[in-house]
Amino acid sequence: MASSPPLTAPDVGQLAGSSWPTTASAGARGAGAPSCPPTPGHAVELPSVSRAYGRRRRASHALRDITVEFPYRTLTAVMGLSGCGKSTLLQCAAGLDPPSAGRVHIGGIDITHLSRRKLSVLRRQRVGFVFQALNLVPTLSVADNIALPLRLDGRRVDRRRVRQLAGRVGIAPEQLRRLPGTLSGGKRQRVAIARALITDPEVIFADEPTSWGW
Amino acid sequence: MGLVTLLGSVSLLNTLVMATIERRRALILLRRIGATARQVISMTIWQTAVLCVVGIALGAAAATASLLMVAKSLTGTCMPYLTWPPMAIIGETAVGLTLIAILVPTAWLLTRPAGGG
Repeated sequence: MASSPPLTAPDVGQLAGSSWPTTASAGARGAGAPSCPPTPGHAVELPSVSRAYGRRRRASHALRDITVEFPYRTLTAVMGLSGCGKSTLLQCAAGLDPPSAGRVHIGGIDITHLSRRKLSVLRRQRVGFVFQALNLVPTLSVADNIALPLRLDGRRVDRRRVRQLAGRVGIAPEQLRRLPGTLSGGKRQRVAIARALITDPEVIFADEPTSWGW
Repeated sequence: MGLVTLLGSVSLLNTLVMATIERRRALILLRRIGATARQVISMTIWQTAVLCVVGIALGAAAATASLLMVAKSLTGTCMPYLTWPPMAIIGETAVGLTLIAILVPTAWLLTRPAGGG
């Protein structure tokens, strides 16, 4: 982290410049659910956020005063050298890691000062995650993994919806009872994508979802 | 008796602490996708309870089998002499050690921020 320069606002402007509105992704979000009305504002907003690691003097700045907005129904790719702060940006934006300065809004809610418990609830209700590796709980079946955010939230699980969502990402119904360890890496990532979609979240964060490992 | 208990305790603690640390990634994943610390802890306590019941049942079964044979050869009857207080102490010690060995590393994992990989 220390060796590479931190992400600054102009960097993100360039790096995240490939933010394009995609009607395709909008369709993907709303296809199963009742058509969602266009929502004004941004799914995620980070006005002048900084994140430093370590103590004051020796602190290394992963993010230095960056401002980003992610509008609804758009796909944004953030690219950069390793160690330039991409993961930190994601963790701050997703409410996984509090920023050192600045604010974070998800779905219009200021999450900056939420307690850890409220952050957890917000994540499972409004945010979908696809990580690079170890995305699934190895002792739960594929169907249970997909339904996990709903279960954590104490909601009833609609099996038909789980099957439907699995089908949309290319998981056959007979694979739903299998354990993640018996699926190929690509299939496991598909399961993770279905899990990210199950709560119809405001935003999905994916950290290198296609370079999967186990 | 003391030495056997000590050795048993050490291996119990070691096994459970290692098993919990191996589950680190699954626990971190649960935290990331929105399980609260309380949910993870209560899940762990339930699992610990099941583990204790199964472990004590299996341990008692193994002990009974060997006790019966000893009793048969020493006294000629199949009825071993049982006293409850030591058995209760052994059971309580096992449950207590299991709880400590599982909950302490789990709690330690939960104090770190959810993003930690």
